[in-house]
Amino acid sequence: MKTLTLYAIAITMAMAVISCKKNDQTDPESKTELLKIANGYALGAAAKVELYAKTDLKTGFNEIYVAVFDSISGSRINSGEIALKPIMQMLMNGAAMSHSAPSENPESAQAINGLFPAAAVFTMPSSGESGKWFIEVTVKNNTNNKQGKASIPVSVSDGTEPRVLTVTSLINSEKYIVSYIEPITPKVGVNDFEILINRKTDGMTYPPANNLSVQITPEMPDMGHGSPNNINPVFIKNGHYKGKVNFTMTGLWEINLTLKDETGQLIRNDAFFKVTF
Amino acid sequence: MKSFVKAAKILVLVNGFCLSLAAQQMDKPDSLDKHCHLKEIAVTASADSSNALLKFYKANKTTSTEDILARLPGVNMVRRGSYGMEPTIRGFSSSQINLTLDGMKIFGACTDHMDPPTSYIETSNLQSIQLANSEGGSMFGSSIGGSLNLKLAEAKLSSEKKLRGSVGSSYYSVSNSTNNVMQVNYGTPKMGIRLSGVYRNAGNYRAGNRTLIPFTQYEKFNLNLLSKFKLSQRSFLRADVITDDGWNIGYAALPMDVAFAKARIFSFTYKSYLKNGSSYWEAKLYKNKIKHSMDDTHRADVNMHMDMPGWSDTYGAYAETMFNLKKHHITLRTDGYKNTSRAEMTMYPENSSPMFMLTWPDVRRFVAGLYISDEWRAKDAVTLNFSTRIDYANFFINSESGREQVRVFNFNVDKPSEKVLTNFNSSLRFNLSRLFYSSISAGYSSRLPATNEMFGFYLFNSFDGFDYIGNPEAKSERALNAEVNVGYKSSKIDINASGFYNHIADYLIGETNSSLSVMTPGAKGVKQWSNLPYASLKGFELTLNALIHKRITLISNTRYVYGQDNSGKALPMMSPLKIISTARYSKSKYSIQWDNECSLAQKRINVDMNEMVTKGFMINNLRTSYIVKPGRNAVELNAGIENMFNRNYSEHLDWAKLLRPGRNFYAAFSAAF
Repeated sequence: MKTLTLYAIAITMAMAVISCKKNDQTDPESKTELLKIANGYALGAAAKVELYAKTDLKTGFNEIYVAVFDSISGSRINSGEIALKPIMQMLMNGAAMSHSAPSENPESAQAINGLFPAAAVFTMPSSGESGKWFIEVTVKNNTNNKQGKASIPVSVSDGTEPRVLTVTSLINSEKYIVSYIEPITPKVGVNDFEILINRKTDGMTYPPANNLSVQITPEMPDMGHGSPNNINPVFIKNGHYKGKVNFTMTGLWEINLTLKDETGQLIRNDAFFKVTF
Repeated sequence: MKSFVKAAKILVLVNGFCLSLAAQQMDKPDSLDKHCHLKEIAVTASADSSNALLKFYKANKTTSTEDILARLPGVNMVRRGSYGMEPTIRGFSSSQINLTLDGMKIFGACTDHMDPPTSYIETSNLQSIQLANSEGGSMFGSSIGGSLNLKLAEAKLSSEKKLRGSVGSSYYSVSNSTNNVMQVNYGTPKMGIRLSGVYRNAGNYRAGNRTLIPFTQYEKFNLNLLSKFKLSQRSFLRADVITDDGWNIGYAALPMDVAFAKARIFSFTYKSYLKNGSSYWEAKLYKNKIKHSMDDTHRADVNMHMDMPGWSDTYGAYAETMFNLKKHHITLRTDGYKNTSRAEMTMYPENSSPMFMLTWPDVRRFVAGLYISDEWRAKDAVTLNFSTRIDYANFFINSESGREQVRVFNFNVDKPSEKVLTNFNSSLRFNLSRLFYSSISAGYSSRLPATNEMFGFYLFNSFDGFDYIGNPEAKSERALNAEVNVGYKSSKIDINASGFYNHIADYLIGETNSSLSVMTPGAKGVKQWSNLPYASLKGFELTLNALIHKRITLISNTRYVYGQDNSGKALPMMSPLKIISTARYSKSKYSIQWDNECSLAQKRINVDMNEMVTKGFMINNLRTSYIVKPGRNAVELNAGIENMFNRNYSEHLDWAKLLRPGRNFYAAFSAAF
């Protein structure tokens, strides 16, 4: 009995140490400091999936790095097809509902420094039992051709400023999800400005919206002035638009967006991101 | 040497005039300072026949430096309150002239020109004012509009009485102000220490129409500790500290006042006289730090509070020598300085984040130069002068945050920018007869763009209501200067007439840039400094100094400048024709003096700068003085009425048509020991 108790204590302690270690661990093979967000098992693929990010997950655009391990040998899987989909499970008046949000799968089947870079847009924060986020990671292990899916619960909190906007088209009431990517640390001067735009075709499907035209007009609402020489974001790929935003001083800025479709018809011109620094 | 240019040597009493006589005996070489070939207004201690001139420039011992400057021929002051007036020479702005204190470069720390360096020097500390328009104009630095050097007093050595000093005080009724000055000199044959202080406290003044002009108050305290050591028979070392603190300074014509303006000026000077007594060489090391902070907390109509502090630090050195080589009088000077200027603006909107920007983005400026002048007495009646200066300048924005800010305007400021400036001047003076003389001079000059003009960031100019943005690619202004002088000088009458013409290429002025949006709420638009193809400034001055009776002296000067740009439009801030005259009657201990200041209207205005027509005016002052006790321990009383007829007026260079003080009764006393 005594030995059993000792065993139990030893095992508990060992687990505690391991789990502690794992929680604080940054991925040894990644070059940037990353934070481990969560992990789970893709059963059919016999793979353990670990999710990393630069910070805790916030509403808006999040870069997510996926590490995949053979769940038996523990060795890292560097070649595989990884797909990622955020799922929100909600309880509304007792009824369970779920919807997805925009996401980006790794571009390559080869891991970079052991990680598969992906991204997810969270359109709302987690809220206890009534709203839980999961990230569904589909893994197809290229070495053994096994495929499986992990559904990993994650916690998402609101940032200080909204970083994702839902824009309803004036043309056809279609919904666009506009996510703020850059600047993460805005400064006085010239800043890279990048957004991601997805079209919401239904609650589970958000293809990137390409070929839109985007105009930005930064403004300081407390002063009523703008800034000169901004460069409107232009389409790069997969719904990404990149330009330059100039801030002439610190404080609260609003970056007003004007979205037009490929024919030049106005989609919306009243959406804006707030930036305070 | 001094006969070369019209050496308008005006002797002005300063405190402690008694101690200098003793000091001069043994300290003879020092008087050579005045032999600088600049047009010079000497503020010296001796009382002689020019005593009337002294009274002309100085109402009493507490008169400010600005009051004296305003009376110099060719000088007009830009006025934004009753403090910190900015000198201009012949229509050239303070950025176009070179301003030095005892040869030291000093730059104000205020983006809105509220603290010209002249505001940091008191007359009690001033030995002379050296004003140079053409020849000698580049001795202290490159400029296109001449130079103004305020020569500081020195501690005096003494072989007689060790401790000397003076006190003085005055009261001005119009602003309920008091001005107090004291000065003590301790001198031994080997060393001297001089401590002087001035405290001024002025309230708001009343204009000629009896209205109280709010935000014209100020308070200041100026303290100086000067020392001088005799190292050998002909060499001296000086260590000088000047501190000046102004606070609670109203700027009625501006939307903000000044919480404080602090100057700390330090210098070490070594001077050695050569055997013949008229040659010397001098080296100086100096440092000055200015801190300035604007203040809007007393203004009623402020919808958002702002902090606007500024800093300007300058380190520099120079070495100069003057010597004679047969018929040539040679001046050589090499100098260099480094200035860093930073100004910030933080705005505090209600219920929102503070907004911060750099209005001067950590601008570092390094300038080094060489000046050579040869004054050649070719014949008894003919003197030729050649002078040249070359300056190398290097500009850089010291901080990455400052550079980032400038990149918003697509300027590349990653690397330092460099400029080389050259100045040449030549002149010829000939005596037509024993009494008549004439001189002509011609030159080429250039100047560096000022910090505002290169790197100012959304600086609101309340004069025209525009935000101003600097232009890092601004070119240096270059000018061709020409001047003609004719004069007549006898023992009783001294008349001089000078005419000048300046053609300025790449004249810097703010040009509206409609693609930029204003930063300051209510501003009319944004202007960016840019170079006009050219502009011109021409005008004349007439000076008269006559002893019309053995007891009556008449002094008068007339100044006029006409400025236009390449399209014939009037340049802004051009003073109209102005005549300042004084007649003085003196009899033993008493004197009575009448001043008249007369200005025509200025109708040639620059509409783009929001200039308005200024009416002509004439004001009269009456001054009296009584020497209670003459001699070394003199006690003197002064009293008078300024703006006797209580005229309601403002001058053309006064911002926002700020009314000048109305009738003012003043009384002053001074005593020396």
